[in-house]
Amino acid sequence: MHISSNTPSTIPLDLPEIRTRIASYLSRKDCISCMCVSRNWLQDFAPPVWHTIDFSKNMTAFAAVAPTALDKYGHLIAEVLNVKTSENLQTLQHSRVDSIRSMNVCIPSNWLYRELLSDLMLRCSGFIKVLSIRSDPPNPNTLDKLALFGVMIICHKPTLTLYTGSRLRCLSASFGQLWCNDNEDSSAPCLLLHFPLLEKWHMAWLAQPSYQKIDLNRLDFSTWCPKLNSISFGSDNTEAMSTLLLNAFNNLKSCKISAKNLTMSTAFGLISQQETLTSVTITDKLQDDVSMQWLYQIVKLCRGLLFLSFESLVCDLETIESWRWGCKDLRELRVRFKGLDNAWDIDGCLKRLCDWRRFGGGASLIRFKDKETVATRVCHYLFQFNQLRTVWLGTKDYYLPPSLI
Amino acid sequence: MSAHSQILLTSSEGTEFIIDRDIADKSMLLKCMLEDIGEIGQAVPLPNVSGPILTKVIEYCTHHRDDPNFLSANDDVAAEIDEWDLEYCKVDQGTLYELILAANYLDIKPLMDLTCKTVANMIKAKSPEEIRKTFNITNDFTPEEEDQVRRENGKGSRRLS
Repeated sequence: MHISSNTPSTIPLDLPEIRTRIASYLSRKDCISCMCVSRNWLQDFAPPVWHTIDFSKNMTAFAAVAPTALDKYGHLIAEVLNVKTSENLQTLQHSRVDSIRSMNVCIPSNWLYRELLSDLMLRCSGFIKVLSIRSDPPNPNTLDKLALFGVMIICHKPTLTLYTGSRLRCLSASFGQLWCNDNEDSSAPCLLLHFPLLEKWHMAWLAQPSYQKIDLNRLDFSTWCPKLNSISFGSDNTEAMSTLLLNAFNNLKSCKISAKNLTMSTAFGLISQQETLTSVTITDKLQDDVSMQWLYQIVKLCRGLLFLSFESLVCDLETIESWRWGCKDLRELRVRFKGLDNAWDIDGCLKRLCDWRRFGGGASLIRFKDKETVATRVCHYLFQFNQLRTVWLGTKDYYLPPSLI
Repeated sequence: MSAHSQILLTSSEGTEFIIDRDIADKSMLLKCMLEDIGEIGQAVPLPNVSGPILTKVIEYCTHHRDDPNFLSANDDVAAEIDEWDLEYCKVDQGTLYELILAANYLDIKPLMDLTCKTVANMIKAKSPEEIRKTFNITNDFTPEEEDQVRRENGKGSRRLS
């Protein structure tokens, strides 16, 4: 097809915004070819080439790149992945590398790395939005080391304004790290002070900091982080966990806790948050009648629960059937039942539940009542939750149609 | 709601086009304009778009008239272009350029994405020299400079390859 004989006076490829858009459809390799086309093209095709530096890929590992290249392109680096060696960090020691938004670092904890990384972070402090840092694998014996590692990242002496006005919403840090943030000053305030907008906290360890002892009974996280409403605990000290749940959290909405820690004291801690608690996730496999008993108390008393997950536990249908659920308005349930353990049965069970939902269910309920297979009973059982929309029974998520009742 | 009303457009040569309101609404420029000032009953002049190009644009919007994912249609960078769209873009370079400019001016995002994707496909796997030839671009680098760009971006020197 031929419409116009002459090329229009404006060539779209002369417009930087159009070149930028075209660049988004090209591979890194093609973008490099485009950078070589002309001076103007160089400007618009460089950002995607330099956007992500992944040190685990040879293609973008530019350890051998001369500093002259960073003079020109360093400011375009927005994402740095898999920083693993001091060479990787050394490479980024350039004044133009100052706009990193996302960084993923996995390095040993020693002074050299700390200096390099904290220098890099200071330069990029106005940009960093995502930061994932892992040190040596944590184990109780290296806790001091882990706390030291905290000094590197979470350094907040008055001269370093790294976290002032931080918009951080999710934090992953052990309890001790919050206080071990300054090697020289054991009276440094709790790190949470710097995260007024924090909402979620993954607390890998609940051990006390090594330099001082914190009185858990007198903690109130909401004074620092009024929006903090989601906590995820690692497997840990049950008593401390319960003390925190009872005292330190206000308006907790979501909690993730290991089955190993599900005891009377933690269950009471969770139940003390029943007014606001909407989401409970039980992780790990450790099942005994005691933990099931406390799970039942949570289900009975936390009436506002919308999301409940205990994927790793295999539940006895009889036990569950005897429960009186307080949280009748559950939206999502993730559970395994004993005897309902293959994809075929689970699929059948949930498809039937969908049909009952769609067609009212009453008549078919009676029809299936005589055949008491586990699948039928589970289906029957789940039918009582009118608001339930997502169910997981061991295979994949099923989305239910809205209930007609 | 005046979904079935019609809109009068005038191309750069003064040719008049009558199109349905829902077709016009595919263009964010026209949509906002019609929402802001209402339908004035007069022709909307489009001095930047020629008649044949406007015909092509209307053809595109009409084909995708009932497409529920119209706005996000070409968002997926890696997705293949569908057959009709592929056929639609089989035009000479001048027309393709004018379509990009028209889509840009009229603010029709999926058409913009489609045409830019088409240009990107013309670039894929070509050497810088071939790209210059395809799009008639003057090389303003010295050979040393070009080689440096290549080296600094990790593609190896030309002499080596």
